Amino acid sequence: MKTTVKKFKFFSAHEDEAQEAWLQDMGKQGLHFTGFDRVGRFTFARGEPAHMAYRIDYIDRWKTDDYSRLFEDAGWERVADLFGWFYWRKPVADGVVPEIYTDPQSKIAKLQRMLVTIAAIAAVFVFLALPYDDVPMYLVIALVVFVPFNTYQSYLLLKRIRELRNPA
Amino acid sequence: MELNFSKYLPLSEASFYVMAALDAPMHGYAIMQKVEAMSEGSVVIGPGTLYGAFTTLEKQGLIAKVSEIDRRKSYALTERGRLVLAEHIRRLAIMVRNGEAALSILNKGNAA
Repeated sequence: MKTTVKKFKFFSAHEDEAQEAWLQDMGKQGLHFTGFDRVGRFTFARGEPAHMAYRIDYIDRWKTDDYSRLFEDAGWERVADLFGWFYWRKPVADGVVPEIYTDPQSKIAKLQRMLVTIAAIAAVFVFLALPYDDVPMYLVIALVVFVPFNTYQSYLLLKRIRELRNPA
Repeated sequence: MELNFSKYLPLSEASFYVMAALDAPMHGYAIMQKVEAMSEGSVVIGPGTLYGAFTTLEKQGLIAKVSEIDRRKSYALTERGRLVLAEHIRRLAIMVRNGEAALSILNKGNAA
């Protein structure tokens, strides 16, 4: 049996819970998340099955020393970080899966941070293209890829935020 | 100090407890433990929520960083923070008084 397993899997920005549940499930099967070796490709180390909680955060600042320190003090281990997304892990004790966000307002704030960044990326490409009569190829490609994709991701995030604001 | 309290109030439960815990300067994780003890286990603030509360309260000028040792930032309540906390508690006390009065009427109604 191979000791390292790699899997490609795509998750939308708003699908944190699905991603966390998937990583937790993999851990129960003995596959422990170690990081990304490529965008979208999860790497796992094979070991003993363990019940570990995985939580994903999104931070939009450059200096994150005190942020990491707080999580480490609280018993969380940083598994990976990629473009502002942080993957944290902590053992599950007494069947209670620990959370990093313990109220709906801060959970919503995290999604709003993602939304701002994702929408801003699309907006930046649009603004870059505006002054051109003959838009250069790299910008055309960026526009064709990012504008629809980021707009759709933004829509999904807004929908999720609305769901969290109005629990049924 | 003339303060527009509506800019800061009402405080979220997490923000209130963070501010109430800062009777002396303290760093993140120590605040997390103190809040759990103060609320007798009913309020547990996760690190993501706590970090967000620090960012917001600092931006609003209600707390300020006093030191950073070993990557741990310690915060203290500012004068503005102290006034906002006092006003929040004043309003909470009125709410509790009104709530208890309403409950005693409702309970009498049920007993009858």
